[in-house]
Amino acid sequence: MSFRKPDDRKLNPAARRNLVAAICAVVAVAMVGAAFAAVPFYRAFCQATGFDGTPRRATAGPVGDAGDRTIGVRFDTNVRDLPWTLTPQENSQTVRVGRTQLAYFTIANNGDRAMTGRATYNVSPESAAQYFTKLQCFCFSDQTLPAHTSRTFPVVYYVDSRFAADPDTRPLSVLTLSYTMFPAPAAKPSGVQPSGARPTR
Amino acid sequence: MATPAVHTADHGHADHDHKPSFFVRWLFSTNHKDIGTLYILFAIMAGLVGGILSGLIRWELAEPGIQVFRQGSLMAQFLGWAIEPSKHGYYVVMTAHGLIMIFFMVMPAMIGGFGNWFVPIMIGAPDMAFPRMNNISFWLLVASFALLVTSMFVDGGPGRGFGGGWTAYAPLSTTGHTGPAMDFAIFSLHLAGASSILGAINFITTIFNMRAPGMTLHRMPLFAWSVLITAFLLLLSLPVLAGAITMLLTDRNFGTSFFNPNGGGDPMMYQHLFWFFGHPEVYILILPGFGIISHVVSTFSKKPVFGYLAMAYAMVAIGFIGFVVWAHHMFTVGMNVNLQAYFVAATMVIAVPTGVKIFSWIATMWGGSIDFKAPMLFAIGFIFLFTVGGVTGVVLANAGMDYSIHATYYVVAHFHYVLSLGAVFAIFAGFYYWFEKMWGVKYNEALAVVHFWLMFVGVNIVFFPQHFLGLQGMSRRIIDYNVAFAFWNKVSSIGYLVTAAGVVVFLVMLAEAAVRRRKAVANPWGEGATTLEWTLSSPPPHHQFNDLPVITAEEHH
Repeated sequence: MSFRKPDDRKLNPAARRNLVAAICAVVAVAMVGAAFAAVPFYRAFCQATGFDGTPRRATAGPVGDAGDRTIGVRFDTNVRDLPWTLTPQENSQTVRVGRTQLAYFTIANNGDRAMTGRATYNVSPESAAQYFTKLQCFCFSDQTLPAHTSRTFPVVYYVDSRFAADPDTRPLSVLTLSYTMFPAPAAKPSGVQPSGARPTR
Repeated sequence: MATPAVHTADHGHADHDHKPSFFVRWLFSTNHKDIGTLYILFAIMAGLVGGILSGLIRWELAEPGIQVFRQGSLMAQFLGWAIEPSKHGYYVVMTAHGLIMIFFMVMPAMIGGFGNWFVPIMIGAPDMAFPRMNNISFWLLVASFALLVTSMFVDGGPGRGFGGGWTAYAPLSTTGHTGPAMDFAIFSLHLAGASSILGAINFITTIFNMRAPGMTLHRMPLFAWSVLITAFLLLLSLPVLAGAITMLLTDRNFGTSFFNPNGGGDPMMYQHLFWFFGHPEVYILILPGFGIISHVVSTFSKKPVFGYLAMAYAMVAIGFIGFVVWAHHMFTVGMNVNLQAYFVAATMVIAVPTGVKIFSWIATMWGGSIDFKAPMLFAIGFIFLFTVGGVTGVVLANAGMDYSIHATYYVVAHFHYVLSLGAVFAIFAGFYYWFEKMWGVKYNEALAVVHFWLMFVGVNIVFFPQHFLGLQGMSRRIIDYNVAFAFWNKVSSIGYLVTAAGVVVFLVMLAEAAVRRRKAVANPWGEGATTLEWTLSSPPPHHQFNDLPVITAEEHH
């Protein structure tokens, strides 16, 4: 008794099996690809939406009129695995929404040799991040400092005037911009293994 | 009822029922029933290992302070060669317990074991579509288990083994565990994933292409439906886990920064990737159980399953929604409130198809002539325990609630009610239901009933108090706790002893059946058992359905 009626248009059972299995295999491989594609997608998504406290970066200044609302912006700085200090010139600023602001940060290398660091940043609370836009900053690019020197970097930013209209952010009176200085991945100071994943302890 | 065309199943023609020699049969096996048997034996072995590990956990948590996982303890004297007597040792044991139970006990038993054994028979196929790939799937799993065990014995960084939990969150799994133990665990998961993906491809191909004439998808037994849906979940979710742990591997060893903020990565992305796999995974663990329970409830109520199509499509719906709710595991990471609202709502929607299933099982029993044999006891136990776990799941789905009980013992109680008790009770229900069919001998009903009652009472004593502990704020995964939690922890640990006694009775039941060897009959359950496996002898011939059965009647499921 045959498995199915002979039919020229249909594949034979073995070929049909292989076809289904091949489709499944392609799906599995595509899902691995999708997992890796999630990396740039996730990053782009965060930068586009301010999701997860990722502040937005822009090249043009704020559009529209500056609002009347004023809010406090606090600066938090951290250094990890580097003999450096990172200090804001002012600990906080009071800004009007929709108006461009300037803040200065000083990075000092207290070590005995030149080192390269890299800063990452975050805005808290996360819901405010989508309205915190930076026009100029020292983040995500390597900064090399000779031994015992310091440099001052400007950060140009504004808080979008829609901040005052969004029900999620309207009640907020203060937000925090946090910087963390890391050793640049490619140029770790000695004592930290090159993988970037190994702590010294 | 099936009307098998010229039925040759019972007389085992010498040519057709030729069994290969022991070595060839069990090591190079390409027979779906033999591979299913291997999977089930493997799952029993892994379940005992995982159960002993959970015993160490309950032993340690029986009293506040650290008594077991420290130098000089009884555990250190007897198991010190295998398990480090330190806090890290506890975390390694906890991690291994989770991974073993998920990847080496529940999945092999449900999908590899019962799936391999009964899906081809239920759809009237002679074997799986790719018998050799089936063999590869099994032996990859053995290799994977060997790697995981190896991982417990090599340096992890803070001590021997990996102690970062089954979720292996970065950065604890990248910078927190510098030794090779985590790398072994990653490779173990790679192999387990490859094994399951190959198995899933095999099931999908088998079910789509090898159904007997007349066996349309809408006449297919619900267990075959559940395995089909599970196979799709495996196919779509496991590659994402493979991708995520590959990123862990390269972050650890090759200086990439997928999850390393230092290089512009984000550790939270690991959680998103992990739970995109992890949430479908919990449905992978439970869906075949749904299928088993439908058969058992229907058989022992002597009624067809109530709402067959609704049951099948409820599983499809659960599988589909399972892919869009993953971030409810991550409410506390600081998500936008609107996003939380979405994940809360989507998660609660799952209760609808799940409710359809629970009510349909009850409706199947309603007015039936119910026979409380051991499989039915386990099935009713499953329905009760799974419903308790489902209710606490709806509680946990609320982001506001989750803020206060995230990562407490309430969560532990919840997922043990649905998985440890739900899935395991479904496995036992299936095991007793198909016992005669698989082994060709009868089991002792009295021992099975004692096994059920000890397990049922025991697991409830273990896990019900953990709801109280969680609501009071006891953190999961921590070796020590405030003395205020001492009482219910003691109770929980006593429950472990009751459960362990149940497992001993289970082993006695196995030994008794193996020694007495009472000859099995083709269909011990009578008129309620209508699926194709009951038309074959017990055990079925080495190759069944040389002449394919023809399925005609609509009520055949």
